[in-house]
Amino acid sequence: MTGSAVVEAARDIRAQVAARGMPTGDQVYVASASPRPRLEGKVRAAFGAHFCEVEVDTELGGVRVTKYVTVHDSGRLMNPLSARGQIQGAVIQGIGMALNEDLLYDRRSGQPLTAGYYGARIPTHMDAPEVEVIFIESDDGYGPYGAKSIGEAGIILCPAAVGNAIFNAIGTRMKDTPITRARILGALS
Amino acid sequence: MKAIANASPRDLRHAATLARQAAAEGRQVSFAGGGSDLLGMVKDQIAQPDVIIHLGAIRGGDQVDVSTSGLTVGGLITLDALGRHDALRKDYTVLAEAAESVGTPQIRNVGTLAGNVCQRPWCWYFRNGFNCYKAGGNQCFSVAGENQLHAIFGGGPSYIVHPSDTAPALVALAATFQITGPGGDRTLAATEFFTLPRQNPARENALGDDEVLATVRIPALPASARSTYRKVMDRQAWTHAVVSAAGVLDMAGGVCRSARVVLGGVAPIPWRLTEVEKLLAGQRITEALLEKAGEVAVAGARPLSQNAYKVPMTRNLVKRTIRELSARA
Repeated sequence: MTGSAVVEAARDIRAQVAARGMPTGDQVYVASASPRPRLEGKVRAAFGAHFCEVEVDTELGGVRVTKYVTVHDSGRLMNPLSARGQIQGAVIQGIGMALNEDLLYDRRSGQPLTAGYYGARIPTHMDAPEVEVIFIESDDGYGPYGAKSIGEAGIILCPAAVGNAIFNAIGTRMKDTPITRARILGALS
Repeated sequence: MKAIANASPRDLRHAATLARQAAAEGRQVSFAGGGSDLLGMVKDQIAQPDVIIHLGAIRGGDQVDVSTSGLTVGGLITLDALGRHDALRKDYTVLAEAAESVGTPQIRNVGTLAGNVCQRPWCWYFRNGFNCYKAGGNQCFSVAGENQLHAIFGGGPSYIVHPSDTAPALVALAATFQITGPGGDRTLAATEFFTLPRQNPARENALGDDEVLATVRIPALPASARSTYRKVMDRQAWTHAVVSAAGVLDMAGGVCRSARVVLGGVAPIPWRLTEVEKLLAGQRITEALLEKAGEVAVAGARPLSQNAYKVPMTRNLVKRTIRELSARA
């Protein structure tokens, strides 16, 4: 949504350049715009849908993501290969957020206890499922060459998709992340 | 960072002698096998040695000798070599599986058996520089703090869990440890080697400051014995056990002749389940017996505020490990 304001401001600058020519010396052209999510009557956003299959070990509380499918509308892709990698990487991070990563602090001193790659329990390659990425390249006529956002789009949906898959498997809604072994065993006890 | 002297001893006795000399001069000493954990501890200022005695260059400290009476393994063998050793994989499976469950390939390539057995705890208070019992202080911060991964057995005054995967395997295999000091060698049963915090809260084992774990001896198992190491982890690699089980079962026609079951991740030492072992001996392994074994396994558990989940996890892991071993052909 912020992107629409950037585009609008950039168009304003282009109009100023067309009217007054390129700035010279210390001359500066200024343009500003506010985000307008429903610009021209349409919602201009990146859309996505995630599908997740999990295995839950009901004795030991473990969750293993066995298959993951994503569908994203990120507008026209400038670089399809890196766009795919961006989504795959985001999914792995999202799975870590859903299942493991927890920033714990010592309550008396405020010092973080689970910092670093070991302590934060980020997923390893061994934890990464097959992630299928499908793009729908819609052009809403606004972004440059029809491009939209891709950066964080892939991570936001993960905890919900993983949580829903776990609900489907064990019948209990998990309302806090990370959905640890302790929480799974607690839900099943 | 302070200057650190490196010492390269000829053999383990020389290493122990160097350690005693340095200590007599008031210098802090650390032994390094692979040094993978020590380097991190020095960087995090958890260990501040003046002298690092580098054992990695000692010849012959990584030998494996297999005979009819059992197995002798040099403490300096890498975890990778231990996990890949054919005779070990076949006859002492629990140790090979434990070795290959440690850390990552990079860590296993340099990390040694002795280093894994003697590694310092991975409690997040100790590793984050809190002045706890393990760092020479006089409190355990986990008791009133975050204790999700802490001990449910044998805790107090410190509630760390023993971090080694190979240690429960060695206790399950009834290993004896040969220890080299400046004045000579001594031998301890694995069960005697690991010490509870109530004996000395600053330490995890009986090693003196100038002693090293030289060799591990494992008596031969009967041909009808089978063993395995099961490790519950928060991710598939590069982490310590939440709970682990090392099991050795001697089976004859569906009947368990004898059993050894030892847990990791639940106590400040590898936690041997002698009552479960007694329960299984001479019995046919049935689901009812497994249920009983699970109950007996956790009978003495005393969870802290946030680690009660380890109780059902331990019960289920013990059942699963024994069930899997007894069903094996």
